[in-house]
Formats: sequence, structure tokens, C-alpha cells
Amino acid sequence: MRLSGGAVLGACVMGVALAALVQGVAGGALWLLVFGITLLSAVLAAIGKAAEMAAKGFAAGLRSPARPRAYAPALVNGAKTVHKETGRAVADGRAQKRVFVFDLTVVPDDGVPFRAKVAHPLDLQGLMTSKRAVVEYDPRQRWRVVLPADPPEEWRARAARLAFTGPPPEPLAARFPPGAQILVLGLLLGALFVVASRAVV
Amino acid sequence: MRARTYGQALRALACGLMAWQVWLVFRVSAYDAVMIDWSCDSQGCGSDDFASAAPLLGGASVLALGFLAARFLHRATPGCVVALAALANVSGWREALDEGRAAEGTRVDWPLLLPFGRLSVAQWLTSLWVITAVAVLCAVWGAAFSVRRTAAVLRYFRGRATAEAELSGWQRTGRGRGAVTVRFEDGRGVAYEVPTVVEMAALGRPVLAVYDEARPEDPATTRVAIPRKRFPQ
Repeated sequence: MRLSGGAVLGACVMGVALAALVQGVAGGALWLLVFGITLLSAVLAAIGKAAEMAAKGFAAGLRSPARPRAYAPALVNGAKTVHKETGRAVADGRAQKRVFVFDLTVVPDDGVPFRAKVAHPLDLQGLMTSKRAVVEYDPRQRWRVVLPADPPEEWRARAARLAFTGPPPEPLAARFPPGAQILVLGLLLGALFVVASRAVV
Repeated sequence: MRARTYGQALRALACGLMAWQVWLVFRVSAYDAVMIDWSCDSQGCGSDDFASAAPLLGGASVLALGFLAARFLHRATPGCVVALAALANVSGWREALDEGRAAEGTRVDWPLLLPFGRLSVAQWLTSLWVITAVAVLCAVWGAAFSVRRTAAVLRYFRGRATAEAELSGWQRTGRGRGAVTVRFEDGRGVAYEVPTVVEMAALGRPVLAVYDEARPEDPATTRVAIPRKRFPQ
């Protein structure tokens, strides 16, 4: 399992916050306790908000360019406009803070189709009216799917020829909830910082 | 655990931590108030004691708690956080009195927060109890307002179903209220149009129809709930 730079930074911040909180509770300066509580609340609130956003079931984006990725044709099951934060449907597609959500059945080369809901602020590839799309996804983590703005012509042609019948498969879910890595690594780092500071003192 | 529950649990934990901070800081600001060693000159007053800046820090913490807790407390948020801060302050004063740190007639001031006059501990306590009472009243009013607007009792205690809804037509029936037709689809995709009465605030924003699954077409059991967040449609 690889960690992104943002996850490592978040875990470090959480570790520092936890260590400050523990030191403050264990008889340290009061400002240390206040610092720890403030920082920890901010981290937890941010992860909680991210998790609630993810609960709407949108596919996660691709990670660094070094990660494996592949193109695949997809069938458009449906498309709608929703509010970015609440996930509720909005009638006006030009409203602020709205995104398009495309419900796709991705049919990769290995023949195991899967379903993904991809959110994007723009109607890329004209999917509000079209029934075929080209997606880019991570073959190892299939919940990571994006809609490329300008897919290769070869894949456009393959998508146009796509013949998939049958009911759409169940949507995939991420293996861990959002921020779980930050929470676990942050707890470990916090414990490490506390032990290290006790050892130094 | 569902992702939504997990997210809400983390946000509730963040709220709990910030509420603890509000309590801690306001309690210390009162408990240590008489022990603050102020140094004043022509520019103003200052101190190295934590309690000297605690009211300002407490104010910032109250704002932060308000932002975090609004998700759960809706319109009761301002009343709840102000009542918490005032009660924490009362707790600090009472403990200082009990331990003999201060007497009821002891006069204290916080030049950083209130750069005027010096109130006695008894006056502070009276003021704080008044603030607490007003804040509790505001919290109760806010809670009642939010429960009514979001139809929380019907949704969570009487098992009514909800669906995204659209309103059409508006015929004023009273102060800020009017008759509309609410259109929604039930869980099976069957569309209904039901006449109902809504507040004017429900117009021009996404709303939810709250209905009895056994009688979705019944105007007597169908209500319109207005979500807390007003987002563009």
C-alpha cells in the first residue's frame, strides 16, 4: 500500500496534534493542550467532511502518473447534475457548485465489467446526450476512474463499437474509508512522538 | 460502518474536542482571573499568564465550535455554544470561590477583553447567569425552529419516508405561508402531486417531501421539509 504525500502530511499533523494533546493532559502547559485540541479537531473535521463527500459514491480520481492506468470503453447508464457538497440533484446545470455525475458501466479489456459514478464539473465527451464514453482507470484499484477530456481516437472508436447488454453491475467501493490511513498513521506517529519526548525529558 | 456514519462520527468527535476546549479555556479564564499579573504602561496592559488571553482564545474557540456544531445543532448552535461558554465561566468562578482564591466582593477585570471598569465576582456571576438563561432560551427556540423546518420528528420518530421534491404554484394563505403543489416520486418511482402549505422560505431551493409510504397521495400526511443548507438550484 502506497501513501500519497498529502496522506503523510496529514498523518504528521495528526501525530503532532495527538502528542501535544497527550502532553497537555499529562501535566504539560495549557497552551500545548489547546494547540493539540485545535489541530486534532481540524484534522478530524476535514477527514469527516471528505468521508461524507465520498459517501455519495463518486469514483475516486487517479493517483500519481507513476501508478498504472488504462483506457477502457464504457456505457453511460445515466447522467445528472448534482450539488457538489450535498449530492442532491439540482435542476439548473449552470448553477454554482454543481457537478455532473455520470453513471458508467466500464467494460475493460479483461472482460469483467464494473460500475462507477464519475463526477466532473464539465460535461466531458458530451455524455449528457451520448451513450458511450472512454474512461481512464487504475486496473489495481478499479474505484479510481476519471473521464479524460481528450481520449485517443482509437479508444473513441472502440467505445462507439461497444456492445454490452445486461443489467449494470453493482458499484465498486474503496477498500478503506477516506482518511483511514491518515488516522492510523497519525495515531502511530503521535504515540512515537510522545514516547520520544518522554525519553528525551 | 457506512462511509456517511464514519464521516459523521469523526465530525462529532471534532465537535466534542472543541467543546472541551471551550469549557477548559473559559473555566481557566475565571479560575485564574484573580491571579493574573498585569503589567501596564502608557501603551496598555499585558501579561504572560495564560488566563489573560483565555477570554480571547475562548471567543475564537466558541466561533470554531459554532462552525463545527452547526452540522448537528442547526439553529440551536449559537444558543448552545454561548450557554456552554457561560457555564464554563460560572464553573471557574465557583471553584475559585470554593477554594478561597477570590471572594464575592473581589474586583477583577480583563483589559484585553473588556477594557472598561472592574466588576466584582458576584457581578460577573450574575451577568453570566443572565447570559446563560438568554442563551438557553435562544437554543430552545432554535431547536424548535429547526425541528419544525426539517420535519425531524416525522422523519426520525414516525418513520415517514423522504424524497426530493419540486414545488409549483404559490397562493398566499397567511403571513409568510402559502399553498403549493409538491411533486415527488416515491421509492418505486411513482410520481405524486400533493397540495400542501409551506413557508415562503421553501421557494426557490431544493426541498424534501416527507410522506407516509402507505398513503403518499394524502395531503394530511405529506409535509415539505427544508434542509438546513441553502444551496443554489
